Amino acid sequence: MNTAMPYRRSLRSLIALGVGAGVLSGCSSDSEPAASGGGDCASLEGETITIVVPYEPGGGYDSYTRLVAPYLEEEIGATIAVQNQPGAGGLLALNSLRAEDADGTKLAIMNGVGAGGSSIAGAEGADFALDDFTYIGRVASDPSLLVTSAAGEYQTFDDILAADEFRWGSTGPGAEDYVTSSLISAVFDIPGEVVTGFPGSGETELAVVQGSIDGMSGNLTSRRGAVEDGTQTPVLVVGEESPDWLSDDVPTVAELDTTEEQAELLDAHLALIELGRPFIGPPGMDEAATSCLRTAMAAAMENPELVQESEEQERELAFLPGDELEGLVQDLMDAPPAYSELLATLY
Amino acid sequence: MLSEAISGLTQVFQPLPLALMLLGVAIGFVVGILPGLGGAVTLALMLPFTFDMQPVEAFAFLLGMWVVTSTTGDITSVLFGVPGEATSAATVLDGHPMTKRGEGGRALGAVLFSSALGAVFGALVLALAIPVIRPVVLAFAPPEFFALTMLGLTFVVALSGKHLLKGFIMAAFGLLVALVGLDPQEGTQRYTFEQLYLWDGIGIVPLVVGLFGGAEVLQLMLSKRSIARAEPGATPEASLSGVGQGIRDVLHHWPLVIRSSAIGTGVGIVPGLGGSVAQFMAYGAAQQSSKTPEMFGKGAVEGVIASGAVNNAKDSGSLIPTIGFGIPGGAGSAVLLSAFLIVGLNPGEEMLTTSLDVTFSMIWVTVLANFIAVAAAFFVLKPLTKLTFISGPLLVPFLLLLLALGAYTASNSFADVLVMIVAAIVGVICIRYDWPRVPFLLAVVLGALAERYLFLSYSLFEWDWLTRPIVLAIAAVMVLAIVGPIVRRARARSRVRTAEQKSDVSA
Amino acid sequence: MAVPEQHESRRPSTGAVADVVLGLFMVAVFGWAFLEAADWSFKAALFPRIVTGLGFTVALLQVVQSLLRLARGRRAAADPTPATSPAGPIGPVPGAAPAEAVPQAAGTTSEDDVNEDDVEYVFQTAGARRWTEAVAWVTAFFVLLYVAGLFVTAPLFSFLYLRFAGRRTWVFCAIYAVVVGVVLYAAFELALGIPVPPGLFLD
Repeated sequence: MNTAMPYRRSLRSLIALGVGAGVLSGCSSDSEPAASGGGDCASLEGETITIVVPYEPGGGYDSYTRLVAPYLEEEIGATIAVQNQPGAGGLLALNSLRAEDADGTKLAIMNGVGAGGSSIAGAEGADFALDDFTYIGRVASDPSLLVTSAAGEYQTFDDILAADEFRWGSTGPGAEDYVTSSLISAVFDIPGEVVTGFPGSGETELAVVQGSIDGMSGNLTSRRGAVEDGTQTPVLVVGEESPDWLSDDVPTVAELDTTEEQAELLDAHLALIELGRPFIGPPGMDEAATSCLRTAMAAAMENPELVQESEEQERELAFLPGDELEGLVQDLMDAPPAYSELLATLY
Repeated sequence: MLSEAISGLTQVFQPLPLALMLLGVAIGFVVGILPGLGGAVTLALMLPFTFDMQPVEAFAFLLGMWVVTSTTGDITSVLFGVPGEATSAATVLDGHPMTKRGEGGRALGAVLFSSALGAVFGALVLALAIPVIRPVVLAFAPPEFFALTMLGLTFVVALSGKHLLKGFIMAAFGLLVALVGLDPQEGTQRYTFEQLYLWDGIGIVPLVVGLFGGAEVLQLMLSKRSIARAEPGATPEASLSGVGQGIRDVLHHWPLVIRSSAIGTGVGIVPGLGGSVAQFMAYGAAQQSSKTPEMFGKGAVEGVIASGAVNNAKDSGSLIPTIGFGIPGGAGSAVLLSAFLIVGLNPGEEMLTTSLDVTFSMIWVTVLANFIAVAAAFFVLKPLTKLTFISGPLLVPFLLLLLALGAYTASNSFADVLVMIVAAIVGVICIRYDWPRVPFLLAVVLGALAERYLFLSYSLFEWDWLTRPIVLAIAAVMVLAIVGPIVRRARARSRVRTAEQKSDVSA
Repeated sequence: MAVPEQHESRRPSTGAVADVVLGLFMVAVFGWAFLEAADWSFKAALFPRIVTGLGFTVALLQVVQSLLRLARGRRAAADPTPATSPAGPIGPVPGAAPAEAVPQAAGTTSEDDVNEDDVEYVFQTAGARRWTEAVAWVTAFFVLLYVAGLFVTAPLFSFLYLRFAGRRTWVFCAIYAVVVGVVLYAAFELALGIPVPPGLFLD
């Protein structure tokens, strides 16, 4: 599968198609080997590294990977090809990553809540354990935001807690929106149901705006437009930190009053959310390659150009080094059984 | 609003946006012709290039590319019988038989010109919808979507042709195929045979490519003749001279163009339905209203016109919820949504007030890009049409590769190629033994959505949804769509009977 | 249902036999799919049960109808003096008898079965040998694609097919093969950078 797109190269041929060179100057930087990372990259220099995106092109995972890839390419001095391999809600690509050569030429971006959660829950289709993989580094954290209809009766999280019957909307079991909203409902004993079957988060949002469901959970950054537009009311950040653009009145999970039992479950889930969207490699990856990739990624993620580009795209980066991710994974493996039992009902 | 419309136009008519639009049109042109490689995927691949662009430049580039793919996809459908896009399958049904008859030029002229008109119609609707865009989007909820899928399914009756019973069987089979995968409510695996590949269901692109393209390629291999009939009078030149005839056909059938465009725009608004449904609804409606429905599937120019117009109108339709609420109407507009964020625009209120000029520039781009593409297409018609007159075996390796690549690029998995092969076998059997293919495809596309929206409607509103006004209106249209042809058939039959009685008497 | 019957009655009997066989196949598929849904929860099984139940019933109807038609055709063929048609042979005779060519309601004109350019016609008339050949080439193409990948298959298959099925000259085939290979490589690998089938050995 090394036929995938070295897209820096394709970009050049695109430009050759006839745009003024100046137009795209910002993204036509050179990709000649310039190994400046401190790691030992001898084995990867000049190679083609494929990063598999387990979803269709155009989604968040795809965009993040394509955003970071050129900068990583520069650090390693290799060609990076981004390849989409959708299937089984992202599990297919991760299952096949397990069997790939562990020489560092095949990586993937993982969906922490979706894929990691299925693994912890022991769900069908997830043939891997979280600690199987080699962790390179996290591209972005993936906090969720609970929102309600701006025209509805629930305008704060306390309103939801006091509800007689609260209806969440979601795409279906195992999806992030389903897991997070069911988990919050279970932990805080919110009466109501999760309506499943929406074809995508767009349709779920539409139902929230129309008021036919009371609320939903969704990717924090993707909610920004609707929140600023005033059609959706943010009520709770399911993540460690609240972003600048969100009003301080919106609490994070950690700021809620909880019993010890509740806190234990929420902490475990926050750890899963903290796992976010990491680049991972096959189990037991070659040590030199691992250290090369980790160092290169750490350097790439600090590149001011990348930081600026990510800000322009409103795609927040949240780098976390590979060894810290491993610690996080270990915490998750040691999570209280109550958590994995709860998750098992949601996948 | 008028000043914004003009400002939008002048912003497009700057050197840089124009150049970028031309580049986008060029890319979209090629992508559209190649089967499999779809507009949404290409948009995603091109997205990184827009990082440094101004909003109007970015949309000139992306929209220009996107709206053109469905136009040029029709070219492959007409000439080779292989759908260039999943949304161009209906064009195959009548466009390709016309090519075989040596009327490829006429078919292309008709499909391209009606595409351009469809684009204009869609853009007009989008422009007129701006003041009411938000209430319109809010009026559509799962019950309305369900009613629309049901309306789509009623066209099985029209599209089954003379074999109603077989049509129903194929439709049921299509619904069955649509059920493969994880069920949307509870995640139960249905008919997945323990294969992870099948969890997400059967891909529509490999299915369409195999179902329609497979049979045509096999036929070339069997007959070993050129695609177009080799007989005196049918030459590339004669075929090309039909282009003007095709354009006149479109003008002659202008109500059909408007109705098909309206169907395209309407279906485009609905998230999830999209072009693969819209084309067959427009095609079925064209067949129902035609004076010569029996010619459909054998090279009726009306079928070509309907499927051309619907495709380009639906793009504007799917922009309506994207602009109004940031909710994408389909895969392509989902990628466009990321482009909004990249260039720093917030879909929603902003697009209808402070950034209204950008919205108008988008509308202008959809119209301009289509006209440029159609004009460009007329220039390459000649070499392309000639291809249909060269010996069949020469085309076979090329077409087989198109089939394989068209299927494989859907999700970069060889399993897609297998799906395509199985679909091709189904297609060949259908043609050989006279079973209708179109109801099958229609049901595959609609089946999964129908189930989702039915359960959602019930979950959200219990049975109250049955009395929602739009649902009732759609139901009325459905009744008309079913009863109309039956009445017509019965009337025609009684006419035949009278004729028979007369001939009996005279005998 | 009068219209399809009218049409069917003048088709070759292989068509009617195929309708029975395919109908039975569909009956089996729907039956299997219906039983398969037995273990699922109510929500997951409701739609499949409706669909397969309906499909099963309609397919069964179709089988019965085609069997009846087949039997009627046999009877008509066995009976040398058919009462219904004064104008010549009726029943499973290919080609339309004049008496049958009554304009049909929403159906089709009789010429649609004999148009030489119809796919149907080609499929019906191609002999067993041609079928075997074509299917063998197609099979070879896809097996080769799976095993050796696109960039090997494209030129190799083009060359072999044109040489042996198309009967072109060696030089012509070689040029065609090279052009196909180069164009594909340039388009997919260099310009678009889109993954193509890699083959088993090139992973």
